[in-house]
Amino acid sequence: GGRKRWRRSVRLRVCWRAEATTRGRHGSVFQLLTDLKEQRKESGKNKHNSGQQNLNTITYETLKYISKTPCRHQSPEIVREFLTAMKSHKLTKAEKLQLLNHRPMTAVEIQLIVEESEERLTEEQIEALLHTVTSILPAGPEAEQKKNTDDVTMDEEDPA
Amino acid sequence: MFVLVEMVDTVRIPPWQFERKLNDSIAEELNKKLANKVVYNVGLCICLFDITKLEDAYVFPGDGASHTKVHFRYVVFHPFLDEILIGKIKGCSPEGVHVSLGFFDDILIPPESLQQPAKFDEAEQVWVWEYETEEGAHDLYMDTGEEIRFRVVDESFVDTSPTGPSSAEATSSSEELPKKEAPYTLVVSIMSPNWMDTQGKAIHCFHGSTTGPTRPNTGRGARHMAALLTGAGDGVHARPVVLHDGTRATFHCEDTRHL
Repeated sequence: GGRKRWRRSVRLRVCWRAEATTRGRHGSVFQLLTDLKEQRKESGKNKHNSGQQNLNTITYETLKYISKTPCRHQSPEIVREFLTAMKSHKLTKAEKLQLLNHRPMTAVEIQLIVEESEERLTEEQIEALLHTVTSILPAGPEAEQKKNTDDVTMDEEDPA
Repeated sequence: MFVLVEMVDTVRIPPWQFERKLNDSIAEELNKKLANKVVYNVGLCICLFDITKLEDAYVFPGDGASHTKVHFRYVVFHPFLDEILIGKIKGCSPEGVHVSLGFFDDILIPPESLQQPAKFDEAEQVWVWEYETEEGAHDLYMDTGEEIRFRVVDESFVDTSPTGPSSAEATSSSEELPKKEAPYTLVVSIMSPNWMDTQGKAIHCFHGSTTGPTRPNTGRGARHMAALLTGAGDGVHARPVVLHDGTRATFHCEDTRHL
């Protein structure tokens, strides 16, 4: 369901040169879009004129997407702490970025993110990595919800 | 998934906006021009990150507006190859499974990249993974609204800018509407190819809903997978995890409650 949005592709005609410089973490994009939303709410007017509709749409949808991930609670300090802790693990930039964006909680997820993980990481290293990730990076909304239900049902013993 | 792209463009500010701060007018114009649009071979533009350089503004004869060359950085959605992303299944068609990220919809899982064996159920218009355990075959359906984790395998940009007047052959079929193509499409996979080489097993990580698939005849096998992958715990006490590559294999997971 839902209407299909056909996006026009836009070509910048007057001398443009685009190079991908830095990879943006979901957390920093979340921060940027939240600030933008605040800023535009304050300035009040002209939020609804047709020119701004596209910006409204994409901002809303992207914020909605990222707010369901663990990245919404990340701050620059947390990221710095995480990257310092990661130095010993010898991972590529792309792998560290994905660890930040996904906050894996299982060995299976680590093995998907890290290329050739069987050769590069032992089981203990995977466990250590998981521990670093889950202890430094804040949990996402789904994990928090699960944690709450876990706390509630802790006293009941599930028969295995 | 997001990249910062440096771009240069000339921004036109009409005279009635001269009272506003130049930076604000320029930011608004750039967002108006680029937000939620696909730039050919670059990606889907989200919003302006910052303005790095403003050159002198010129007013040209015959036009009262100012023209400023601006160097700026824009946040663009452009996942790199092999990146893992999580999206929601939007629907299925014979071409494959369509996945959406909310802000970006044109993601396709072609049939060969689905967990094998997979078949397309014509009646329900849904792709099905025929998954075997010791207990027998279970069908896992790719339902709309289910979360799914995938790996980016390929991307394609199509230039959809308007072309000039069509030639004589084309005008004869002018009753047809011009075919609308998505300017930016991602082709993704949920199979991990490198796993097939090293272990002869493939691992499939796709999330089910927190209550597990509600289809009939999914049975315990499917609930095992659902609970494993969502960690909802939902009354399922599965310990074995199954890796599937068309033959059966088992893999023991220490504690499924932490998934």
